[in-house]
Amino acid sequence: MINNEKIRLMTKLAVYENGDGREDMAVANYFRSDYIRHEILKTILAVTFGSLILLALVIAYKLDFILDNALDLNYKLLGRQVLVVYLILQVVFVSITWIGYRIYYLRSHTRLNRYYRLLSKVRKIEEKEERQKDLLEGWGE
Amino acid sequence: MMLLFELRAKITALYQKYDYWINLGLRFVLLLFAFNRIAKMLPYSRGLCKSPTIIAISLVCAFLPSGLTVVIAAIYVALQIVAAESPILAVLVFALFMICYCFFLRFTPREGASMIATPVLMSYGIPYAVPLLLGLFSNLLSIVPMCCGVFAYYTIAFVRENIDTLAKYNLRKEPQEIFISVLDQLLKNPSMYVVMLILAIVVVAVYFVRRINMDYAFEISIAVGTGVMMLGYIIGDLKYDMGIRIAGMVFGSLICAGVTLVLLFFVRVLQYAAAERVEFEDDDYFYYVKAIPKLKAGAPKRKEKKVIRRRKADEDDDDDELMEDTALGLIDFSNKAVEGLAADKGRKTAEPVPEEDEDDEFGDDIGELTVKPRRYETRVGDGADGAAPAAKPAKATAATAAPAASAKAAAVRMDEDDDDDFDDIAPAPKKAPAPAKKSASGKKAATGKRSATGTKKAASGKSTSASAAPASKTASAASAAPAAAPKAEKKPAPVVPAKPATAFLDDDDDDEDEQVIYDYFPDGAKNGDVGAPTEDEDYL
Repeated sequence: MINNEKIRLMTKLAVYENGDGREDMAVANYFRSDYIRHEILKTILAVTFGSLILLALVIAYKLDFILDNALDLNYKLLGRQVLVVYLILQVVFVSITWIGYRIYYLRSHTRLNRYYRLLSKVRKIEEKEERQKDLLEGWGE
Repeated sequence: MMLLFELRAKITALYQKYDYWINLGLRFVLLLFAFNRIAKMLPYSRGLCKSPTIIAISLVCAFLPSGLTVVIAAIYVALQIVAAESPILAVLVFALFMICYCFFLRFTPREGASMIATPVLMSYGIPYAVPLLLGLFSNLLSIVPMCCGVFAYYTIAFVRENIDTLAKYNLRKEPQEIFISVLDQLLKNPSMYVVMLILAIVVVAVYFVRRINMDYAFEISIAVGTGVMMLGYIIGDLKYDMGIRIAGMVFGSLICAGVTLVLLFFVRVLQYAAAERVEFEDDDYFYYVKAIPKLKAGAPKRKEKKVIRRRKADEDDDDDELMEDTALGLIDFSNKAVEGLAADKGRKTAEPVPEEDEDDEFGDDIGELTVKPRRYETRVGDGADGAAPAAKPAKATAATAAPAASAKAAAVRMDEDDDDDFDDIAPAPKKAPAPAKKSASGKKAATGKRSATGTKKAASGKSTSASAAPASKTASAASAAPAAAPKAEKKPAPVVPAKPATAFLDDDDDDEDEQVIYDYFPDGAKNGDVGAPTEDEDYL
């Protein structure tokens, strides 16, 4: 016989699995530190790529000046300045990533915990059904 | 107004039926508008401006993630500029878009639609709806893609206005001049930053106002946002001479506010309207379920909440209950047997472990659409809260449910020693006395009620007759309490979590006792005052 309560729970579980659950389960494959590191790595790559484009634009913008003073420029100082700007950008975006994805991981973990609690509830219902079935079969004999 | 409600109901029903295709269609239409608008603003490549090309690109992008769509739109713009024989400019524009993508859109991958919608609406001269909608239905992070959209619009507008001039440059000789000219004019444009600032402030204002816990917060937030926007544009125009026609801006803002209100009317329902189609299986069946959220219009109804307390019962107990569940229909238990079984269960019962109704944790969006103001929500004390929070529900329960007040309040009432068990809940009299007439019960009945509903003295097993009274007789239990109470004093009854239907609902064939409390009070009810009959408040 169809158990309505079980269907209700299983529907909720399935809805979660089709929605946020996919991402949450992908996130749950990682430890929190690993997940955050993974995201930070992606951020570092994106910021590096963006910084390179930015640097190229700045060079193109200042090309006249660079060509005119090519021999007089203090490349060491310039390099240091560029590096400092790059590092500042990295620190800012990595910090945002660290905070944002830490919160996201915790929320995802909470949702997943609820999911597993509901899952255990379904399991209990199934166990009860099994016992009920066995009992009825026992009486039948 | 009725017509509008009917229309909304029809649209909701339609949306529930075809939500996937409608969402896809809406995305397609938005992208069609966007690419069509870009083609109108930058009509340099014949092939890219043809309708079939635009439709094909929009159709493909409708299935792609919004972040990728932004990249494709950037490529489309760059190709149009290349067709105008300005490859350097195309590279520059694409590079600027990529910087936006790498630095900002990476963190808001789902908000790509707002980056596309913003320049489209700005090109039509109605950007005013964007911050209102984002403030209402999104979060503060949406400011980032919106500002990227403003930047994209100003970039495209700049290219359209200056493409002829820029094309005249001898690109091989003076590419750097193009860079300097474009970047100077584009990035040193104060209007762009002012517009970004105004729209960001509007999003923040709308977001925070609509989160205030008050009536009509959404509508008020639209009004506030519109006011802030108009003020911002007027100040910005006075300060930076943005070339805005004030009358047109005010009119446009009001129109956009009206449109947003209409959208709010529909969207707030449609947010919950999407049907869920899920498939799963167990050992016996495959299930193909379409879960459609319930939509309730009109005044909020008081909702009964089941607080489930699971007993720590051993296997034998479970088997006993299985016996009850399965065999009651087959075997005629005598009353004595059932009573003995219940008493036995009561002795074995350890401290009941309250359990939250976890079912609703995921089910908010697919369950009932009920408004639950948090400040009115009451929960019967669980393990963490102890008995302290139980005081309020007890009051509220007794006040809300006038006829069954005594039984419910007794059920809600916690024990004296501030732990979570229910050792002060005594068994019901096997047969409650017949309902006494109101006139006959008089003052004594009132005292009986008081003792039954949880004054401290009466709480611990003295007057628990009502707590376990059968459902049908709950109303009368109060009046009968004076008679029952003295007996209870002499001989404390054994602890039996019996099953009076109003207090404990356990008719769903499981091993749980369910207690009914009310977790939602009507508007205006505060601090447990729910407008119950005053006579019920006497014994709170």
